[in-house]
Amino acid sequence: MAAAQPRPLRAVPAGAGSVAPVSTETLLARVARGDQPAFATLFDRMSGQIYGLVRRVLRDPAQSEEVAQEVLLEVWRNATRFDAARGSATAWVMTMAHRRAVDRVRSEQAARNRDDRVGVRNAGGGSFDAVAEEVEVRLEHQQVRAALDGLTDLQREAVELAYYGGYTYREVAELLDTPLGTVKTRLRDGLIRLRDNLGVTA
Amino acid sequence: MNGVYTDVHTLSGAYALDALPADERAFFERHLEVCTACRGEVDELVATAAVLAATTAEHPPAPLRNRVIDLVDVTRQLPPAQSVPQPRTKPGMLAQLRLALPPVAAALALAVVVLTSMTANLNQRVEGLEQELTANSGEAQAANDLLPILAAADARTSDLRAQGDQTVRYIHSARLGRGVLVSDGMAPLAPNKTYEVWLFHDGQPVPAGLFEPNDAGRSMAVLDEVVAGAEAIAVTIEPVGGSPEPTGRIVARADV
Repeated sequence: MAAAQPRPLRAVPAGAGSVAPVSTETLLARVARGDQPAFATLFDRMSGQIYGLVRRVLRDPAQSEEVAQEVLLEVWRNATRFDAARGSATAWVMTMAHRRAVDRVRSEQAARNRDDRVGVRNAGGGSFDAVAEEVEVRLEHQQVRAALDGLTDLQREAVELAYYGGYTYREVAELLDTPLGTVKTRLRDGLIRLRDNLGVTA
Repeated sequence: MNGVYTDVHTLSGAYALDALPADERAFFERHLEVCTACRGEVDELVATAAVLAATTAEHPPAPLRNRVIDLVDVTRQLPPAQSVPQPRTKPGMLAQLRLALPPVAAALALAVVVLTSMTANLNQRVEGLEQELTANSGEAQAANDLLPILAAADARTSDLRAQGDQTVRYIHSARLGRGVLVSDGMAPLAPNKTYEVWLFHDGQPVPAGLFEPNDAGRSMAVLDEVVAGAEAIAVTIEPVGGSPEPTGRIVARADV
């Protein structure tokens, strides 16, 4: 039943001239008041991004599903703690998802399989097309790819290994055969350049 | 070692990407509490990192939706605002200490409980402990060393950020210039290695003593001399006999 239902369009960024039914912030505020239908809408809006990110980091579908479930429950439990002054609702949710995915990677059971994850970048980038009807996601996808392409090779590789690969900067340094200090700096100036190119504000 | 302490601001990128190992993440979060410049930058970089997720969207398995919605139906939400309560002690740790450590350390574990609870009855309760302990003659000296530190009005407890299941707690009194370090679950060391404690003064590590955990990884040690004025504490693994300067990796650390 879930899969057969049409997925609602996401709110398009302000200025795009489209009807934006309910902002994610508003949904989250309803969820914070225990509104379960609002949570279902939020699920439909965010679960693809959450699951996709977690699976990109973890690779293993069963583990990814487990972690995505944890993240979604965490969104439900912690919605009361969301503070719009400190960032967007989407960023809040995705930050939580990434942290959880990375924590799982670093936990011991995942450490066993670490070596299997090397080369994640090209090992199937997720079935993005399946959710490409989500306008904002597609728009952002293109913008983010373009912004990543605007980085130096070392910046891009370091940022991608850290974010999509879930590696620590020490591991990134190993993988790229680059000094620790250089990797730290590239992660920072790479992100700063992405921030400026994407016009991200907190 | 120097890298960790001298370049703390440059960790913002790695932090925003969740690319710091757990101990450095905790260390940087402590830094964020006091560094407004980093905090502003980190908020923006965290938001930037979150946008990177836009390239990875993928339909979750269909059963996830109903399962999560069913779970939501039976899951209570957190009350709003206020900070999320952080357990100051790992559950079970103190109970284990009480069983496995010698009596003085058991008293220490109890005293730690006292310290972390309401301070109103602190002196009264520590006095009670003191009487109990000193009644047992062999422990009197150790009790004399420990209890004044624990009972000091300005005693402060710092939980060091340690890897894995290792727990290290440092209680010190600036007024007395003395401190106590308690550990649990420390990894066993090779026979030619030891744990060494460092207290940082103006960013420089000063040797504060060595300790050898028992078979269960537990230990306690009284620190003095260099306690006063230290801003951070760390534990490294060093060759047996200790080193004048840290040479091994940091296994635990905290600002104090």
